[in-house]
Amino acid sequence: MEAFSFTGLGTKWSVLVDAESFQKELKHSILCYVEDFENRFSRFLPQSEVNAFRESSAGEYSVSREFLQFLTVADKLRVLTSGVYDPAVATLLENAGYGAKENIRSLAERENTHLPVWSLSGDKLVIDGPIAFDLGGIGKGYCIDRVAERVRSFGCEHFLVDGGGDMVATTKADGSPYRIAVEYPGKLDTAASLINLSNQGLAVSDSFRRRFGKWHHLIDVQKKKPVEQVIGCAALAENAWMADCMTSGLFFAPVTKYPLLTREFNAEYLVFQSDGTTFVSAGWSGELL
Amino acid sequence: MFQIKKGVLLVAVVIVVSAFAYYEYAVKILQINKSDDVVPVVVTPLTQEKKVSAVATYMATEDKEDSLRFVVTVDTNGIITNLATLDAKTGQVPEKKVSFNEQVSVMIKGKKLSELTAIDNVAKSSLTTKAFNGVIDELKAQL
Repeated sequence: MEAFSFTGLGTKWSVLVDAESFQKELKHSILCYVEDFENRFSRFLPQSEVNAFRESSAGEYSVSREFLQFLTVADKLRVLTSGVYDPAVATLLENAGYGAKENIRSLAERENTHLPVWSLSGDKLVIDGPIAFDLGGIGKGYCIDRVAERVRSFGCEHFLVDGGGDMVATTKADGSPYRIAVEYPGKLDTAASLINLSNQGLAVSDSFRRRFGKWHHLIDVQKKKPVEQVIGCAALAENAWMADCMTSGLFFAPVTKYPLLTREFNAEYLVFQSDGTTFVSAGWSGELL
Repeated sequence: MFQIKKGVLLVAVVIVVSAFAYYEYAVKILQINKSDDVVPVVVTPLTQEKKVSAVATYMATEDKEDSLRFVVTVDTNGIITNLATLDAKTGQVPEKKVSFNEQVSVMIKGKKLSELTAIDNVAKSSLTTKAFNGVIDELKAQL
């Protein structure tokens, strides 16, 4: 088993291949793709596509095929969460001081903060004025799957691609699954579940890793404050992207919408609530610890 | 197509059963004698909740017919408080519907990673990005 580790999208990646060596060309291909992906879709890079409409006036705009895919799935999540999830949160956060010089506490105080309105009309993006997008929660899973495609295109049939804790895996060369521990939210040394991952994607999200004071990065755009009821979740799906999207939905949707999310993303889930209880979907295949 | 048909069927059955329940338990109770001879009418609310049910038949597959029993629970005010879907033959919740209808609420204590054996990897949330770290100190200073 050979491993290749690198940093991309601001997090640690590890690609395990069940082969004698890791081809130099494959490493180069992976690094180039992840760097290109970051340049195109990171909201922290001013020239990226998600920041292309910061100065735009209201109107209809063409976007790249991949960006359209992201916006399409983001629109589904927006509907499924009754507008609580919205990638336009980037603008809202910045208006409130996230990444700027103003005070983050003003986020809750600014009831009249304008959340830019966007929609899709065919393959066009329609906006009501300047807007920036944050693809956090749906972008990385997509990137993981594309890296997996590159690994496969180099003849590796058995591998695991881990992008900062979210992952996609085939089986090992002997046909056995990868044995994955799901971290308990907020407890770095504790596992909540054990999964035999085999030709599936797995994503995990919690509200502990990216915090500042009492705030974390998962913002309810309707209430203009961080999500409080859910502290973490994990999702299993046919690929990393769907698992990643599922975790975003689980964080922002009410419990009554979970069956709809399950059907939309064909995923199973674990949801950790702030009161200590955990919701487990009937099809969750992992062992609970 | 099957999902849509079943959804429509479910809505239709709920409407029919609701109407039946309303007629049976609400309209009759609240009915007022409108004759000229005014007779005091005592409106007696239901003393306990009621359950009404209906069976719906549908094509589970192209060549297989299946049937479900929808059970509606009505409270003392005639308001539907619960809807259960049962296999019409066995009276049990159909196995294939469990994944859609139910989730389990459990308490998970967790287990130390050091106590687990043969782990290939750990699924965890991403660490803070460099970009985020870039503004976090600034944000902290303002809190």
